[in-house]
Amino acid sequence: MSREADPEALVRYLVGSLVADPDSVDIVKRSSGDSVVFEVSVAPDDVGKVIGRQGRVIKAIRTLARAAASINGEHVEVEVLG
Amino acid sequence: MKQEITTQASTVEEALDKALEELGVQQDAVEYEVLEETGRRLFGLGAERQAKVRVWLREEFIREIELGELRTEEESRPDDEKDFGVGEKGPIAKGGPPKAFAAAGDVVSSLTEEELDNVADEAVNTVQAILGTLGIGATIEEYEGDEGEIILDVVGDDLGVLIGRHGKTLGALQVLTSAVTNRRLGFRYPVQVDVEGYRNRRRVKLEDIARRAADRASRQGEPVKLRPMPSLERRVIHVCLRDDERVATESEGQEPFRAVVVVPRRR
Repeated sequence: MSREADPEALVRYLVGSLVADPDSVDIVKRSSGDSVVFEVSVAPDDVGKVIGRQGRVIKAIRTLARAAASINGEHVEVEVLG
Repeated sequence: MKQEITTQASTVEEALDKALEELGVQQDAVEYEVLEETGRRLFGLGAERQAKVRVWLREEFIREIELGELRTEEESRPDDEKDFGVGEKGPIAKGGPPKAFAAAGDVVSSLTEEELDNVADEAVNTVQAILGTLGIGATIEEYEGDEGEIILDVVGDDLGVLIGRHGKTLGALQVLTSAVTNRRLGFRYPVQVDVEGYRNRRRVKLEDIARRAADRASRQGEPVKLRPMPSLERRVIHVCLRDDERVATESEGQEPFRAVVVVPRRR
């Protein structure tokens, strides 16, 4: 039960599962010090699916990604590039 | 569960918020019209007019609405039964659609046992995939809720990280499991995710808090403000006290400090 958490794989899985066009998903990881930002790009028609009404989905992705990172003692952010 | 509601508040946004909370749904589940904008009455005595909105559930949510009818019956049962009612768990019924479906009309009963198993499988796979990326190995137990919803309870050691502060991480797990599962299925079906029965324990506790607050408010004749809670928890309080004739409930404040106030009714 104590394998390391993999925030990047988590974001990749979630975003890939939510979009209609998984081939257009691109996730760029930028790190500075202890903090990591995942920049997510998807097909224009899929942006809404990743964000959700009132940002509900992207907020949930951020919350889970932070939980994943906290298991490893890290900090992550997730941004969707429009 | 109500399908339509009219609410008033000092702004249209707040009235809408109140309606969504009462209905227990997110904004994508409803359509609404503004009956009255905020403003001053033309010939009034300067009294500020409240914004008034009518909010109704969209057609696509008919399945959830119909399941919701059963929930209303649930709530009208006596307290001692109610405490364990919603959380009462049984394995997913084999050999025919569960009772809730049979009573819930065509849309829902059109789900065969096989399709239902398929929904459960998709939901379990989604949760397992997420847990995998978190490096968490756990068992997922499947249950059928009283309203026909699929309940997945994640069971294992040291799962606190999945619950988070005030259940925030669990809430996110729930949102994403539903979103991914519905996306894969191509239709919406209610799936609830729990961790070590947290939701159920929490609900029982919240109902206790609600009843104590109602007792206190009606005894003292003064409003009782509860501590801030997320919307799902506030809903438990509203629903629990909906049939209590002694009090009314409302929410005030802005997220994340929004809190339920239990107000005594005048006799």
